[in-house]
Amino acid sequence: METIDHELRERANQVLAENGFVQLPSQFQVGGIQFDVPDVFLGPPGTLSLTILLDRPSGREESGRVYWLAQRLARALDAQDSRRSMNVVIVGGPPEDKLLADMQTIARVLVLDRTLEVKRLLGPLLPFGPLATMGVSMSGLEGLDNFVRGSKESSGLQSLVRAASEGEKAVEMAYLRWIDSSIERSES
Amino acid sequence: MTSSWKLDSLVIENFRSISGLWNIPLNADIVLVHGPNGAGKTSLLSALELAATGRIGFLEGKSGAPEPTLVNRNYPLGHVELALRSDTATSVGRFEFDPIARRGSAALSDRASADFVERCFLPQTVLGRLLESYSLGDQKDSALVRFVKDLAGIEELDSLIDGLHAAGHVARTKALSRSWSKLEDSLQSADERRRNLARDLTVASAASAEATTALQVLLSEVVQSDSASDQASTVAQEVVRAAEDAQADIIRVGGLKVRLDSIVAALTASHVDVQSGAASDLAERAIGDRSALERWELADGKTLLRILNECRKPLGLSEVTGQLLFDAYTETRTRVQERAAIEREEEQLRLEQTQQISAFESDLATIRADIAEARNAADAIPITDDVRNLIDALRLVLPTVHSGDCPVCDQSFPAGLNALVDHIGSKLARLSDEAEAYSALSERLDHLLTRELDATRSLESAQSVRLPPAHGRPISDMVRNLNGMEKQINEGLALLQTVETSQARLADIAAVRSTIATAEDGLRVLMEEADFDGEATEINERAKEFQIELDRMLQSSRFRVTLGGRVQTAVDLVAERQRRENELRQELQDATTRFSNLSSVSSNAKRRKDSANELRKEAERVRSSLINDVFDTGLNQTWADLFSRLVPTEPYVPQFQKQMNNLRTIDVTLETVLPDGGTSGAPGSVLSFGNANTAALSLFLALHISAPTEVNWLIFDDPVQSMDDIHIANFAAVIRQLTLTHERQVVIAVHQRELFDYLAFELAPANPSDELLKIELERHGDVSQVRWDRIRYEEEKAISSF
Repeated sequence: METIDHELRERANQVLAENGFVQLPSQFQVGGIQFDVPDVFLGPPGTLSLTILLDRPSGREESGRVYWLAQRLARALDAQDSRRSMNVVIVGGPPEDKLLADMQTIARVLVLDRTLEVKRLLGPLLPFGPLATMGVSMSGLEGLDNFVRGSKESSGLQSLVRAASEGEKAVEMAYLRWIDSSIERSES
Repeated sequence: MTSSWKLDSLVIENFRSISGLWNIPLNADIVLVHGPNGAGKTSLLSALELAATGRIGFLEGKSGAPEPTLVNRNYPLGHVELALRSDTATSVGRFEFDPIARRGSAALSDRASADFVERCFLPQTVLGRLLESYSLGDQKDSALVRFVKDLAGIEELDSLIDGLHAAGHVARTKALSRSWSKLEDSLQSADERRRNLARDLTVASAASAEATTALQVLLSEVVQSDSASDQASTVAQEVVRAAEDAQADIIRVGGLKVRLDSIVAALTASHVDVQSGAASDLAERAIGDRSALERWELADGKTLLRILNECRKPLGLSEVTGQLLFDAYTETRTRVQERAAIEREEEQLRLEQTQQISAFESDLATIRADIAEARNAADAIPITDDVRNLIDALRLVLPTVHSGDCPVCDQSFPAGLNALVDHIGSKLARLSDEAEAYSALSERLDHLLTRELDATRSLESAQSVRLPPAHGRPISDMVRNLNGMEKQINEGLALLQTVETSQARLADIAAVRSTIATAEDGLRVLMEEADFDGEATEINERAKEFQIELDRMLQSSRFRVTLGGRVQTAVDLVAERQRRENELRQELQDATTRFSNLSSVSSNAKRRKDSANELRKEAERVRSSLINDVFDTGLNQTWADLFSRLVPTEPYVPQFQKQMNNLRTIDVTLETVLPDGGTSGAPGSVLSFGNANTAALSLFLALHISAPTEVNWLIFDDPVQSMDDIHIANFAAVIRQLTLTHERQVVIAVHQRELFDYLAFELAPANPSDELLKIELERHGDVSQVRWDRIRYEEEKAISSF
């Protein structure tokens, strides 16, 4: 008996679409061979992939149908010397081990279930978004700006912060100069 | 920073397992290297590392220098050369090497080389221990810590925090700042001085009050009433002035007293003689004594004067008159005694001369008799005159012989002095048998002639002495005459002394009388000067009465002087203590001002120190915040993203623990986090071996991609050895994303042919600008070979719609 998780499948469609995957019509051809697959996607620009979403097969016959579909599609691509890699997303949980092993010989197989987010489970297919801190180097001293500006000794503290770029000794010397200048100026 | 470098080409010649010369292009987005084990994959990547950075990481930890292992064992020399390019520049790293040394320069800067080693190149040997090396707890200078510091700009914060370490405590700042240390010393010194001066002022004020009270008490005794303090000064001045007057009185009265004492002494000395009648008796006796002397002068004195002048004449003395009789007598006796002594001495000398001449004449006669006898004996010896003369001549020669040279004929006698003397002696013996006797007589005669000459000279010397002749009249007569006068002379002398004594006493009496008269005048003058009348009439009584009055005046003056001195001393003491009090008050005011100024300076310095310390604390807070940001929002998110792409079904996702403290070290602790946010153990203990390796690989990628670098390369040496097939496929997908969206240049070396083909398929160019290089290595015996294939984009037409 087939168990279909429509909600999960919808979510997968949505995630793929959001990440630049282009959905093909359910009926398409590869080298003249006709296929009828409900959810099939081409990878986003700059990638070469063909991704199909299949519901988890519930029985032996269903498993065979799924396998042969993938096999036929892979052979069709090979026959056309296509460089596209094939991704098979099985929605609803892992299939039986034999089917999974067989499928992995011809395609990258991803399994969607409800243990983890769909986006995470589809992660290997998705393009990178902007990564945190990527390409940006922080400056620790900038974090002191507000504190220094708000201090009554703003000018002196700024000189200490400036010296930090020249190293610990420079800061120590600047600190001593600042302290000494208050003493020597007063004494003079 | 320079724009990112791209790998362009690599030349390898005789490097490690690679023999011959390889010139390999690397100018593609993805470079896949394949070769069976031993074909040179790792050598190729090591050559790239050496030319890029100047080092080969996996050789550095091994013992011994790496040079012997650089060059291929079948060749003496080798080299590697890496060409890089960027949008605007090129760079070439080249090293030549032999078994002893390597020479050359790296293509990358030191900083870029460090990035290459830590975040770009993942050697086969590193992946397995990557997690372990990143989870050692507190780390100070690991690659990860350096990375975090770089990313967060921590280095500058650390410099600021460390540089402001002294601001954390006054003592630390003082230890560094000589000015502050000096200031604190000055402040402490000023405080002590201020306190000491306050204490001294209290004591000085009390002392001043005490002196003022003492002066008032003293003045009240003088004026017999209490003097107000404002009147005390006036009273004291009067007392002091009175003392000065009294001092003048003492001098004046003292002078009167001295003069009075002199008068009293004169009166005491002359009082008895003047008052008795002995004075008139003395005058009469003096007249009688004078008459007796005059009678003696006319009688005995005249006779004695005549005799004395007679005695003086032969002595060469002048004639005297009667007044000098006694002195002339003494002079004459003395002269006569001297003359008598001289005459006795001359007589003795004359006697001794006579005896000496007589003795010399007797000796001379004896010598002359001996000479005549010796001549006769010599003449009696029977030798001729010529022989005798020759003998005499030879005898005269003998004393002149002093060496072996003959003084007569100058002939030299080699045997010396004794031989020549013996020769002359034998000659003398041969001349005459009587020569010896004649010679002895001749010597004696010479001796006698010498003695005769000496005796003659002595006699002539004695006879030549001229002594004065004897006096005609013996001096003894004069002595007798003078001795006979002595008694009468003494009688006259006694009379003369008596007269002189009487006259002296008469003169004394006259002088005393004069003194008394003078004293009476003097006493009257003194009493008038002292304004003292007195009651006594007799001069001695008046003098005594006046003396008592002067003593009283002196005592009164001395009392006033003493009192004035005490008052003056008390006044001086008051002035001195008030001056000291005022000085101390002024000094205290100055010291208080200085202490206040120094305190202000110290407060200002402390305020700056506190501000600096607050800055330090803020820097520590910012530092901690930044580190957490780097770990939480930076590394952890990127790591989780990458890990999930590689193993999307793994619920345990690795991450760095949040930094929970503000310690100066960075606490690197790994853990895993579940989808519900709960945390679990370290990746190594929770994940499978394969997933733990994947966690390490994803961490390496996260470190690479989380911070900017000028080396945008990712170089892997067999990175998927322990991955299952699905993870490998995911890895390939991640690599494609990195090249596509982050423009990374990727080099992957694998040893499995199927995997190589799969990756070539999976990573095939998907854009017209993309290229993929397939490099294949082979080895046949000792010969290694390389070939490559550049894969370009091809339009994909396999899929179409109906």
